[in-house]
Amino acid sequence: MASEKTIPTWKQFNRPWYEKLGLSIWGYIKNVGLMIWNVIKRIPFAIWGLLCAIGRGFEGLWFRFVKGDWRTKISYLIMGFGCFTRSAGQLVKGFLLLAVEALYVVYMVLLGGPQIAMFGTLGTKKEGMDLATGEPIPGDNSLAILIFSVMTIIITIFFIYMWVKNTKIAYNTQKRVEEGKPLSNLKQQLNYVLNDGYHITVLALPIFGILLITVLPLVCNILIAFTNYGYKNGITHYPPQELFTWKGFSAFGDVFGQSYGSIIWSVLGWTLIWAVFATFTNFFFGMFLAMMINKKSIKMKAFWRTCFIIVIAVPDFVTLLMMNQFFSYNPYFNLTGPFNQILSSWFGIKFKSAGGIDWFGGYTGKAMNARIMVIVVNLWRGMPFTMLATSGILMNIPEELYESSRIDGAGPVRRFVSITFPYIMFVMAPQLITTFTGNINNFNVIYFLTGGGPDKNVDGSVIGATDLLVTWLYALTIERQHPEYNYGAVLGIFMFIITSFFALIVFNSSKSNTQEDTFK
Amino acid sequence: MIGLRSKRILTDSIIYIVLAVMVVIWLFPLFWMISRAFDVETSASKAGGLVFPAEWTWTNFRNLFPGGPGKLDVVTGKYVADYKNHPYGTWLLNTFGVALGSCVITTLFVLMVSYALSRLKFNSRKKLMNIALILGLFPGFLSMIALYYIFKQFNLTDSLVGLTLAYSLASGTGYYIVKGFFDTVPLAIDEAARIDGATKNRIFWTMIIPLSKPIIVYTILTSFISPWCDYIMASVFISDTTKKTVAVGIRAWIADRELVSGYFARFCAGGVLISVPIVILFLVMQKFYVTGITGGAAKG
Repeated sequence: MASEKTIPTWKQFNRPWYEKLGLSIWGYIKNVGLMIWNVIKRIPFAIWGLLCAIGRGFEGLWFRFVKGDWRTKISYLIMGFGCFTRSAGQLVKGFLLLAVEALYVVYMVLLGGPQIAMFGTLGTKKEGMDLATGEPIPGDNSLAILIFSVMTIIITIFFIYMWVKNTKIAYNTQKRVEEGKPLSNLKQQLNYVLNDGYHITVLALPIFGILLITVLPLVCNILIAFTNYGYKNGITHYPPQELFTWKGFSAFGDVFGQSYGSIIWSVLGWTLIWAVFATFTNFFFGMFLAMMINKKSIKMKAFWRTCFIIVIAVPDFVTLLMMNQFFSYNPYFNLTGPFNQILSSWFGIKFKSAGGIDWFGGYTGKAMNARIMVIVVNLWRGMPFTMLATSGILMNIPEELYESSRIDGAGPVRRFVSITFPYIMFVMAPQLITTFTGNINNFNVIYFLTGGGPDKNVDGSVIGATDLLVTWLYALTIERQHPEYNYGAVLGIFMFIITSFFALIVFNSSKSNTQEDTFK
Repeated sequence: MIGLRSKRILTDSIIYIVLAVMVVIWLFPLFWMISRAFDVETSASKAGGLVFPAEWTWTNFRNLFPGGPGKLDVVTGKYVADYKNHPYGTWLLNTFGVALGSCVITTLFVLMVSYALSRLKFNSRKKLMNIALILGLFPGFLSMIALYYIFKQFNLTDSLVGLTLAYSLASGTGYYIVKGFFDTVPLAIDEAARIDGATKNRIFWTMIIPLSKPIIVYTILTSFISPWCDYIMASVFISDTTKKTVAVGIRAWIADRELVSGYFARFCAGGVLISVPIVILFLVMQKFYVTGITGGAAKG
């Protein structure tokens, strides 16, 4: 396998570790810079390429129209006409194309057209009330207009694609008739779907799902960042009772300026600190645990491993909520929390205050307690993951590396620094950065343990000491009495930029060691 | 030589001691939770015995299902039936149904996408893979709110079918591991079958899938476990008590300050019950899991 070439040999590990660390960090930064530059450099070419492709598309359309006979020409208006008027074998194909057109027209007339017509204003008619009966008179629903407009755009792109395809099909069918070749029958068409065109068959449903569940909501949410859908200065804009409308970049100005400008950077700071600690404590402790378990002379390896695996097998919401109570504290009763009780009665620890220690700072507002505790509990929960992954790698380190190092007279520390650690890092580096971005968005640990607190005020603009960007986003949009959807959308875009910065590093470093085609 | 051996015995015994202490620390909270599930005392913070309950009981487990005695009223000393407001049995069934449904759809989608991207050559293959990569960078939570409103337009919120679809329809982007596995199945197999006149559809179902059993087991298990353990999506989509999943339902027993004193033991019982199947599944699949998290990189 080609990857063996890229695994460094014992000789290459001889640089001092700090030099290698520095070099690799510098390499990452340089590579990311280069990648971003490469992407930017390619944008004008990409735009030009796109324009060319569109131009060629129109040229082809015009060419086929001019060269086409009357059947092909009518196909431009009635899709599939060139198929179902020519032979019985083409009937189903032609009528399927016609059905696509009919469905599109019905959709546009009934739903898409009226909605997209209001896309510019997002609705003008507010919900009213019938003064005689007190019944509400439905007005425009800005959110529905936004969602259905985006949906209409996606459907229209698909329809245009099908329409162009239809003209090609019509023209090709005409050519086959002119050349005297037989037209394909239904059986051959079915065979195409199961064979040469099989990628369309298997990808159609999954791509439809991704468009509906991921792309459509994502585009809508990005657009919401440019509206006033939310709450500001006591005025709400919540459909269907109220309208919201386009506001340009004003939500960005609010989030980075007057509303949250002072908070966002401190939340980002804590998010990054948390991600660094959560990732590296797990990584190092997990690695040492794996090394202990995998040491040759240690017996009952499966037993030790299983004990730790049980912890990660229990769902997050069970273990973390249980930990929340395990470390509970109440100043009004004497030693209430189970862990405080254990410390005092088993280990004879005397506490300064009668309640014990406020582990999550919920009552005393000690931010430091909470921050240390979430990292410690995360270590408890996450370390077995690293242990599992590193165990697999440790078993794969070639024994010859150790033997040759023994001949060179290297001790256990030297062997770890020069062989084991670089080897683990080599395999785990991309994984480590993925874990890091995962931790930036680690909702569960924070939400279940502290809920973002201490000092959290869900309804005001006060952010808890352990709030990450993602839990803050949750508070802004789900928990608040007056959700600020537009600010949430801005925050989401901000998080995307941060995540993709780190993901670029992974992408970059993994590109060199993926050998996708070596097996083929 | 004797010096070396005694040195090794010494390091080994230190390692055994460290491992034993760590196992105790790691398992103690879980052990505590199990013992509290059998406790008569229902609040976390006033545990009578520290670890072992002063009095053992099955009440907490019986309360999870219809016909349980209910919550003990401290003032009157009588049990008040409360299953109607806390129908754990229904939540368990909901969770199971949603997890099963989304497991079926997810597994099919992931296998189909992986097969297409690994075996079939078509023009936009690389482009699709890059788009999937970029989509994966957006926090999943970002699209959840808009998704909620889209589903609301189709009456799919507060519905288990809607929740299942929300979990599974977009699963096509999670193809990396399975595709990596398909890449290792020799292409010669496909070519031999093609010469014999098999269609790509036939090759997929009758050759690739039977050859990929381990990775299919892995896909089925992970796609069952992730909705089973999920909280955030269910919390956004479901508010009706009878349609909740276990995660959303029992979180209230802890997060709601008025409930926590009376329901902590029941939370433990419910937590133990929902965890047992997952722990068993996890222990069965641990060897697949290792290849999963290292992304197959450990193969070299």
